[in-house]
Amino acid sequence: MNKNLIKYKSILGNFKSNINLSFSDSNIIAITGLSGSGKSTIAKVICGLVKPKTGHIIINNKILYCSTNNINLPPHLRNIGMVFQEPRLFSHMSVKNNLLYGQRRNALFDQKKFNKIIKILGIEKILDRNIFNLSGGEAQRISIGRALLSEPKILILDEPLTGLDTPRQNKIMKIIKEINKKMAVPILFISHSIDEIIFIAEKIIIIENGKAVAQGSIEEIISYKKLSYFNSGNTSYSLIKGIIRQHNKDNLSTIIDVDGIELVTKYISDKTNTHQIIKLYSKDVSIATNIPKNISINNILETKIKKIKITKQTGTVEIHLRLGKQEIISEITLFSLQKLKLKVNMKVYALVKAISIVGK
Amino acid sequence: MLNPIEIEALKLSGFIAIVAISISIIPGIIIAWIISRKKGTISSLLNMIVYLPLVLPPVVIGYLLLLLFSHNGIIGNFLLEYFNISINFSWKGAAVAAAVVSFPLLVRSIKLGFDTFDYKIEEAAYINGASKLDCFISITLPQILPSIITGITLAFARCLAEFGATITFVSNIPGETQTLPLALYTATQIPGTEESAIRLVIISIILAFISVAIAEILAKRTNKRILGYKH
Repeated sequence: MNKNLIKYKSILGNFKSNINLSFSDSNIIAITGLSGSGKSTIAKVICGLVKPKTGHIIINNKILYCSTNNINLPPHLRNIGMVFQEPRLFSHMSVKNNLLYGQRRNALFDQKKFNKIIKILGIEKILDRNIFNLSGGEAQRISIGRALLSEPKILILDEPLTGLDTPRQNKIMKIIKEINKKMAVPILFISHSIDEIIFIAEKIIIIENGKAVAQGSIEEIISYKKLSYFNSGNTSYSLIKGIIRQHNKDNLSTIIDVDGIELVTKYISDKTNTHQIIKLYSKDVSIATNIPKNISINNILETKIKKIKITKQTGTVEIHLRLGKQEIISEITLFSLQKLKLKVNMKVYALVKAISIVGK
Repeated sequence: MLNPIEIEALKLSGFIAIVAISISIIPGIIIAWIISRKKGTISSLLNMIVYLPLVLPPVVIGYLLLLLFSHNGIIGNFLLEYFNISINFSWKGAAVAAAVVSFPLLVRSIKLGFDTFDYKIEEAAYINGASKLDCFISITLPQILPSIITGITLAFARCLAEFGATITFVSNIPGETQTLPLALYTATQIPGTEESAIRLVIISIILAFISVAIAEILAKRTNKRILGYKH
């Protein structure tokens, strides 16, 4: 079994990290957290770009860093494949020479493997192109190819989809999954986007203030409260689990069961009885004290207020509501809170305007 | 058209400039890299020393070289004793003088290249398996090539224009140290050689024009190839 261990303490300026991660399989592991939480530092420490104060880094049974034995391999001897937010391509070389840069320094040329990788990445037709004539998505795929061809023992992707548009993001996410399936290389996927990690990862590690505060499968970390803030733009949302109960082809709707409570959503192509992860933006959840009539909203759920959190500066209020064994958040104004005289444990109706399915 | 002395001076000027650049290019790149990348007292001090020839009167440089390279001088004595080389009053001395005065221009341009280079690209090369030296040769140098070319052309032009340090250090010997500016100086000092002086002035202007034009063309080409835009 291949052992990977990342355990270190480091201090960069005022920022302290204390990381202890281990994994042994070739899965996709996502590292997430708010910006400034120390996610990218993990990548830099593994690559050898940042030297931790103490600890040890073992990738594929190979010791890359060990403070007690004074081992600190330079980056070029670590066999890490790394893809950054920016593609960081070498502009004085052709696409093909970029791809082969790491390969030439780490292994003998293997035409079969080369063909396989460029096929997965879909870059067969742009091999002779100039770096300047690549789109953002193409450049990032070349960057992934360059990392993969360098015979890495682990592939680290640090926010590789930031700056790309949604169709390109989706394309690359699918490619990453395919790489993991076909190349048998463990992937460490660093991202702040919950949609990306739910789509891509089998194991998720949440980093906060330089520490891993929660880790596990998507199901296991879904209840981690602060997860709802891990999004750019500071829009809060809640994630809940549900099971598809029924499809209605006449009005193109699907009913999802959340701990015995039924939610209606637009038609989902997945089969009945499959598990789904649902994302509810807090702004899309309104509150009423009585059941409103003649309203377009389909999901009117009877619930109880669990917690009220007021942010004075902005005048916004977060109402945490019980939904079965799970919890959803409604964002309302201070004005509404006073108007409806809401209190903890009060029975209210949650009006859910929009539901999005983010994963299985 | 040109008399033998003028042809000799033209050839010598070109030859001395090429030799001067050849001996200063590698130290120039290394020093530019140190000044650009390393922060500290030694780097700052080096920075100041390198730029001195730009502000010192060339006569001062010529005299200093004379002191250093004379047979009793520190370097001159060393060269004579261990290598049996004397550069005084020879084209070798003229090349050294040209190298010293053009050095700041060479280093300045190359340093600018290092300053504006995005070092994140080097990180990508390291992780891909390149050692520091490998990365410097395969990534950094090709990436800053436009700056190196600009530096070489500027330094080359400065070598052609060199007068003060050369005449002080290695004197004005036809066929040995008499470059174009020195030949022109001689022509202006002797009555009846006004025509020769005019010819030398015209050659100097043409030469300067050609080197600037070459610099422009090369810079445009390499910029387009490496940085992807037209200058």
